[in-house]
Amino acid sequence: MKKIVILGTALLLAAGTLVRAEENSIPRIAWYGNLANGLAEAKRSGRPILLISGAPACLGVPGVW
Amino acid sequence: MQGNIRSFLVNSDVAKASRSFVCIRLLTYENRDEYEYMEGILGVRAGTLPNTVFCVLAPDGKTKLTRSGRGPFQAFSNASAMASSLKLISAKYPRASQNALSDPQLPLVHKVDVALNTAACDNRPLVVTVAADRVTLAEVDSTLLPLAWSEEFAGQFVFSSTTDRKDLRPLAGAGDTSAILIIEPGTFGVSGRVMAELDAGASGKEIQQALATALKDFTPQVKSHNSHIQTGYNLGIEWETVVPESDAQSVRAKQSFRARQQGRP
Repeated sequence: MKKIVILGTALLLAAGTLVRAEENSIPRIAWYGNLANGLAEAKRSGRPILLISGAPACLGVPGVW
Repeated sequence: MQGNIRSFLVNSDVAKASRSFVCIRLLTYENRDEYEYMEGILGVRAGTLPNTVFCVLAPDGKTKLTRSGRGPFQAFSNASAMASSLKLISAKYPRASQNALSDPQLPLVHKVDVALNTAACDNRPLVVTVAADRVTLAEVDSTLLPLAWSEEFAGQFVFSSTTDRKDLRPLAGAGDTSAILIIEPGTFGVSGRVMAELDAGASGKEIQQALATALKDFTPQVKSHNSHIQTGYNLGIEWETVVPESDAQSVRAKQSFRARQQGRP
């Protein structure tokens, strides 16, 4: 039962997340994908850091956060 | 990444406010050093890093300016509040706004295959630069640099670079001499299609036109997690992380999902 609840929770989280196609022209965050380069740039430019991390796979399947 | 995290990050006001920040998005289980850095940011026990992490930090990369947690929802009530807070934070750093969109390096994802997957996750086109040696690659990247950080293109593409053409194998249509490739990622981010390619001698104007055309032609895919995961599983497409996944809830969900699939008639 516990496993079913956990799986159900995960799928509910996922099911609520229909990834919609978006407009190409909207402003988007420009992400550094590398910590060392990002930290170096923050130090150089004096800009604070917006940090986030995510795994590029869901339940082991790639192509979706 | 959960939908509630995504709702913060695709907000236009948040994106505009982010220009005064260095925005770093790591891939949670793809680099051991980054993994340990994030453990420190979250203050979790070694080997227990969850699959998402969020924090706003001072330029030193150590001082927390917001609460750290699994997502921006733990620091801000909604995307609008996040955008307002980012503006207030950046105002305390006088050099922040004047140094926006003038970075001296491309915002690269460190490996082409990881960048391809990232582009698929983001539903964005990928730009790969390739050259036989580091010096030539730096020259190619320098031509691309002002465009990557222009208002027109900042944040619209995922970037990666390589000196090994073997890294281009997943990219159907990649030529033997191209130096800049614009790629449409496949649904699962394990393959891609060349939308445009330019040689090392391409001018800034030619690159600008190729990027603009690719952006116009690129059609973001509509994905639902459920069908995406089910189809991926059925096709045997699996992403192997560099660092073992350590989010207990996610690991259990993955095991349960697979057990259930294997138990199907």
